[in-house]
Amino acid sequence: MIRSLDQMVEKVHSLNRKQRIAVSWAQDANTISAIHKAVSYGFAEGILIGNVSEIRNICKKTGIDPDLFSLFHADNDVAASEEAVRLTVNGFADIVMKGLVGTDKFLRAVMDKKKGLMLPNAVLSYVCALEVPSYHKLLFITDPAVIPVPTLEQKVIMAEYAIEMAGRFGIKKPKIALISASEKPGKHFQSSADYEVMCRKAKNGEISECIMDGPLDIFLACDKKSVEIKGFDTPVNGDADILLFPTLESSNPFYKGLMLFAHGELAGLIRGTIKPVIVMSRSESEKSKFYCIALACLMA
Amino acid sequence: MQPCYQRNQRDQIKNCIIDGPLAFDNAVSLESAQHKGIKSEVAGDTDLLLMPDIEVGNVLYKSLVFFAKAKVASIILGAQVPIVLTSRSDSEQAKYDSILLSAAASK
Repeated sequence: MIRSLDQMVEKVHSLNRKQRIAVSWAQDANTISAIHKAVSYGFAEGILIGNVSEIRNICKKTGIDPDLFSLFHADNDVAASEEAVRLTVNGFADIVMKGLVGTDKFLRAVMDKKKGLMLPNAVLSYVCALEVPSYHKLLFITDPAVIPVPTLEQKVIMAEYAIEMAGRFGIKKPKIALISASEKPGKHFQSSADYEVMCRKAKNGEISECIMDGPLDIFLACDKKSVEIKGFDTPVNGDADILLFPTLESSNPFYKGLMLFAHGELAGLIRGTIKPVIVMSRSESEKSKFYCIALACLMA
Repeated sequence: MQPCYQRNQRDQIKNCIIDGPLAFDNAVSLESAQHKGIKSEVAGDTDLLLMPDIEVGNVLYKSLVFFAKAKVASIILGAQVPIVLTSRSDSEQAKYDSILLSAAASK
């Protein structure tokens, strides 16, 4: 079982596979240095698409050999995104990554019904693995980035994506806490009604193998001591592997709070596509950017 | 948040500076706000976070208490006297600090 993001990197390294990563509009120093690190670790090849002379200039300035990568020219960010997706659809790349292009333009190429990378009728969602020193293992959270207010059906799919990812980390039967403000179901919360149905589905085997309970608050999900004090009976028992949040507004401050105040690092990935798609926020740390690439290679 | 902001601008909500919507990182980290190029009197130097609903506010404070070892003192306002309503799983320190806070808030 992988218990930290560095262990995840070791695991990817031990797979002895090289994933070809197509980067859209790649003339960005941060992106190139993160890709370079993955190439140096031996688990990635970089296909950089964009303004080739600018890419070469950035490489020169940062002391990176541009001939380590395959370079392709594109006239603009939209063309670069379409080309990155096209290469991946046609089997010339294994992973697509966003460079300097805006997220909306990039995802438009990914989600294009004819030429894109979407699985038929798939739900696009984001799962992320968080490493926080004050927790005894990795914590997977969903969805802090893509679906604002998930429906019941979307929540079930979010759970499935997280279970699948946890599986790649060697977690066979993950404990999933369905998060709310309290362990008491409330009739004002849409989440309470959805969670009741989800727990029933999990029990009936309509959701992949997991231990699911909710609503639970953060304490009962992650802190054994709180479970003891409250004397509350939950199979998650303060030992959650996965936290599923009711809304993006609740999960987004959660992960940002842990990044800012609890020394967290993360590796996150979009799910619902044929091949892994890497979208990173400009404000993520250098380390987290590298972890995102490694995670995509693990899931490829 | 727009009406809130507007009322604040018109001095209908007094003695504070309101801005929003702000992402959590931009509200509390000047570095994040500058990185995103957000110009706001509040960003990076917030005193009070107003949350969109109880699931958001509850998750945030509990995560900071558990994962970041934050200290917390809390009271309920709106009654004739302050009400101390801590959770059973709150620490002794949190309960004591909540008593102090309610004493300070008491008229």
